[in-house]
Amino acid sequence: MDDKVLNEIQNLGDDDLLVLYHKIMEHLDYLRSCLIDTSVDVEGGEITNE
Amino acid sequence: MSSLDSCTILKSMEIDHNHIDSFVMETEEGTKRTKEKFYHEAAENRNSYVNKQQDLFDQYLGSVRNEITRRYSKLMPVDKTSEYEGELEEVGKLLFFIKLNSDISDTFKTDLDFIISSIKEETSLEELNSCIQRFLDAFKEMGLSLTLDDFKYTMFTEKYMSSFLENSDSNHMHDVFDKIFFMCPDIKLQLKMNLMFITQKYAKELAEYVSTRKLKLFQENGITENDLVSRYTSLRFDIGNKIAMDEYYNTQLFLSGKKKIADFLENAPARVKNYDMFAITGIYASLDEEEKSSYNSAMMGLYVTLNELKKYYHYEFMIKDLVEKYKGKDSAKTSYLNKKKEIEKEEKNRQGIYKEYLKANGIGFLAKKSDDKINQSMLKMNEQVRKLDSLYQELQDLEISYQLSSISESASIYDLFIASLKSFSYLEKSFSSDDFSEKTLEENINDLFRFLYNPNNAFLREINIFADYNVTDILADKYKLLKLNVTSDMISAETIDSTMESVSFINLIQNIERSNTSIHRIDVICKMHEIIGEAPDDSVI
Repeated sequence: MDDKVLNEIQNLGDDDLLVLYHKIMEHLDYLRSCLIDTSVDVEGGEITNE
Repeated sequence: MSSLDSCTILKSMEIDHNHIDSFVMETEEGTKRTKEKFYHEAAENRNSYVNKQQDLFDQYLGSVRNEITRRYSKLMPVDKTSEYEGELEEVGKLLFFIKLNSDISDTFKTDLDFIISSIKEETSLEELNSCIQRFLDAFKEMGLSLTLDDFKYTMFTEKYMSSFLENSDSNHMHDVFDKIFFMCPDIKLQLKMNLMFITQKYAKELAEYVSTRKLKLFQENGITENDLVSRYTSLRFDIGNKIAMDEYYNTQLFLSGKKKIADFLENAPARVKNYDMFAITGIYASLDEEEKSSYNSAMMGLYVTLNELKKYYHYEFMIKDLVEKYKGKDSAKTSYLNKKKEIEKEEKNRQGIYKEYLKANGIGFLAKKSDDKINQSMLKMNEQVRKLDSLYQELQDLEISYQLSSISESASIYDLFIASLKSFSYLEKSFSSDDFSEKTLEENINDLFRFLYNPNNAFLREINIFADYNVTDILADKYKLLKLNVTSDMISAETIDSTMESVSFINLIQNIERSNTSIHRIDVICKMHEIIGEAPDDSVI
């Protein structure tokens, strides 16, 4: 992580810092929801080695 | 201070949303197999991007968390408990000096009254022996070593104490007690009365000891009788204020969950409801700045007054009783003095019975041993002590009225309470009800002293005992004049607790805002606390 981001975090006000924390948590939830299970094929069957 | 809107992390989030949303996941071209393959590859590409971003945002989260932990440590007020301990100890010491300087009896000042009063019918043998030992130790501290001669109140106390002074071992004393008990079932009472008698016998020495001790302690602590109470009240007021406004304690109230910070924020329904309750218009927000300022100042006074009033209700039964007794003080004074004379006479008779007993044992000039006379004198002694016990109880009942005889008709409620301190037996009886059973007699009396010498007491000293008006009405009227919505119904003995809850709510806000913290700062600390859990962990900083 670059110094610029760290610097920005350190310069945020307390309220903004808390908002940022919750936004990151929300974003992580969003990212997790974007993961696609690639072990399942489009029609729902297991993809085999064939 | 940088702005959240221009923060790189927020921008990265936006980029993520755009990038993820714009991923092409499907193709119209090719066979079913080709389409599946396309989707599979697109999903893997997108997952790879998402995984990379997850790692990045996990790092961001860690950094933000570390910054929150660092700030929590910085924002969290310092615990000043050890700083206050010294001052609280000093307050306790000054209260002890006030007792030493007051008109209470010397036996009260030296704790001998507490020792004697703790001997009751239900007292166990171990407790009884411990009381006797404490009594002996207290006298030793005064430079008086009690001997068997002091315990010849009856032939039974002499027998018991002769063994006790030789060997106070519990098993040994159990045997001694059993043997005496058959001849004298009142042995506990007789020992108790013996101790009382000793305090009368050495009253002069006791007075000298108390006076010398007081002088020494006052000199050592640079205290004079004139400035004692003012020093106590001023120090107690200061430390009370410091503790009420202490940032650490007030923050802990919220961190521990005893209070909910959400209720205390500006415009929170609970806060609005409590503020509106005392606003004369019914809506605090409708008051202008000047009115709000008067409201807040009057509310601070109301908090102090209601605390005083609540304690007053606690002790009101005593005031009612003391006023009744005051009315009969003149006749009680004569009765008290006559009772004293009667007791003196009966104590002499008791001594006579003891001499008869010695004679029947063949002790003394021309004395001849006689078992019959021994038994007779023992029976007579048991009866005589019971008679004396009744007389002493009657004397104690009259004592408070006798003490009230020095009070003038212009006395305040406070003066009446102070007079009640002169009678230990009256206090003992007053605090024997269930309302006071959670604390020991010593603690209850200490509470009464603390109440009487509370620096915030006002109406106690101002209201005359015979005034034909109601304290609750006077106080409600006073705060109405100060433009607060306070009615007698709101502060009666039955309702004061719920009203106090609202007043305390506002008082806590006022104390926080007067201190070096604020409701907003506590809110931030609470939110940070929720994130980082318990105490900040230095290792992550």
